[in-house]
Parts: sequence; C-alpha cells; structure tokens
Amino acid sequence: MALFRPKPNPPDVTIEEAMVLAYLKKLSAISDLSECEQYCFCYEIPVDVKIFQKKMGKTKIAIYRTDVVKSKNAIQVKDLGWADSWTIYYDVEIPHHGQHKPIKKFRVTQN
Amino acid sequence: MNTDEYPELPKSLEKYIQSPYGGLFGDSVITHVVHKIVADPNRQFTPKYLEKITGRTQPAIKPALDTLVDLKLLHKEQIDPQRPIYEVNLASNQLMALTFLAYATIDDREGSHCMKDAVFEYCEYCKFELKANAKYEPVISLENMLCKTQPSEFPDLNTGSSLNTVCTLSQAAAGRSGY
Repeated sequence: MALFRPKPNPPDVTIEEAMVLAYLKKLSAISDLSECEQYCFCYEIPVDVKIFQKKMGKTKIAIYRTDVVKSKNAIQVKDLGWADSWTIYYDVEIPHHGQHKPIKKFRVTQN
Repeated sequence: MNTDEYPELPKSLEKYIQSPYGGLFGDSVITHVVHKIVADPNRQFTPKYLEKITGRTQPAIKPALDTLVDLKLLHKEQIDPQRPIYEVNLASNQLMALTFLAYATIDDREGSHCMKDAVFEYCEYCKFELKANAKYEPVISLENMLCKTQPSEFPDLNTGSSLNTVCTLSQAAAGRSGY
C-alpha cells in the first residue's frame, strides 16, 4: 500500500521488529516467549526478542515469569498505541496481498 | 537479565496465553489453529509445526486443517502428498475479520484502540485499491452529475465539450456494469 505515513514517536523500530509487534498483537498482545523467538527464527528475521525488549524498555514490551507456558516466560506488548503506530507505519497491521514482505525465503520448520 | 529477575505474570493475563481470543470460542483444536494462522499469515504451515505450537495431536489437527481448507481460509499445496503444506488465503475476508477480532480482544482488555486503527487502515487500503482499479473509469458518474447539474447547464451535444465526453463515458460505464 503506497500510503504516506508520518514517522511515529521513538523508540524507533525496524520493519522486522514491527512484524514481531504485529505478530504479538494478533496473539492478544501476549505470547509464550519461546514461540515468539521461534517466529523470529523461522522467518529469518534478525531480531533477538530479549535484546529487542531491553532496547525498547519495560514500558513498551515486558517479559514475565509464568508457569502456564512451557518456556516459563511470556512476552507482552505494553504500549499498544506505540506498537500500533509502528505497525501502521510499516504497513504490517493488516494482512493483504500488496503487503511488502521483506522475507521472501520461507522455511518450513519440521522439528 | 536472568530469568528469575523477570516479574511474575499477572493472573488476569494467564487466560490470554492459554486460550485463543481470551476463551471466547472455547479451547477446541480448530480455534487454536485459527489463532496461530491469523497471527502469522505469511508462513507456510505443516501439520507437524501446528502440532508443536498448539500442543495438539496430529490426528486432531488434520480435520481442523481440512475444515479450514473447505472454508477457503487455507490453501493446500500438494507438492508432496506425504507432507502437505498449507498457506493462508490472504484474500479471505474471514482472515481480515479474525484479525480485527484479535485486536478487539486486546481493546476490551486494555481499553486501547487497536481495532479502530486496523479498521481505518483497512478502509484506506480499500479506497486505495478502488482508486487503482478505477484508473480508466470516469471520475464523475452520470447519476452524480445529473443530481448536481441543472438541465440548462448541459452544453450543446454537438460542441464536443469535456462535460459531454464525461457524460458519454459514464453512460458507457453504466452500460458495462449492467445498470
């Protein structure tokens, strides 16, 4: 979609990081940390979720301890307004055919 | 940061990890599969991968995938019958509606406006697509022009004015579209 969007407020994120934010938002903004890491791995997105969380800060993204998931950690997007503006900026908010896909090389995980 | 340094997950958020859409559609296999494919629509899915991320068995996953193929939410790629690959149908309206639902779940919990933003984005996208598709269509419809123009303002049909051209184009367009 060739719509102009003004640059959102910092902290700035890359398109790959915006895709992670969009992915988390579609999972009710909270997910198993290992699943999120797997998402980044399978798409060959160079995003280390823990480093990304540290870089953005606790007010934007938080990691929690929990027993309800296998990895014992969960990740949550805290600042939804900020996440919204970046996913819209990179056009990854809604799925559509004309979407810019930085990752063409899909890899199906078998293990 | 050490794992132990992370704070404890609030109890109120636990159900959002365990059940798709906060438990709105229960805990069935198909709901889990839908939740995962909506979150990651650009991926190619295998039954084995879905088995892993949903924690369900392969015999339970297969009928769910067949149902989603029937509903045109997924395409089945038959490259290797032993290892089918499924792709999300990005043109599916159900996919779009489910994406809005995912955002609505957060909005009702957090009081945010993710769904409104997404709906606005979708409208902008639809407008953009309509404009792109209507490249060779007349800008003013005949119906619109007749409503806004007084009969006396119509030019002489023999002058070949631009308004006359627009009128002719609109009539041709109306004829094409069957109205």
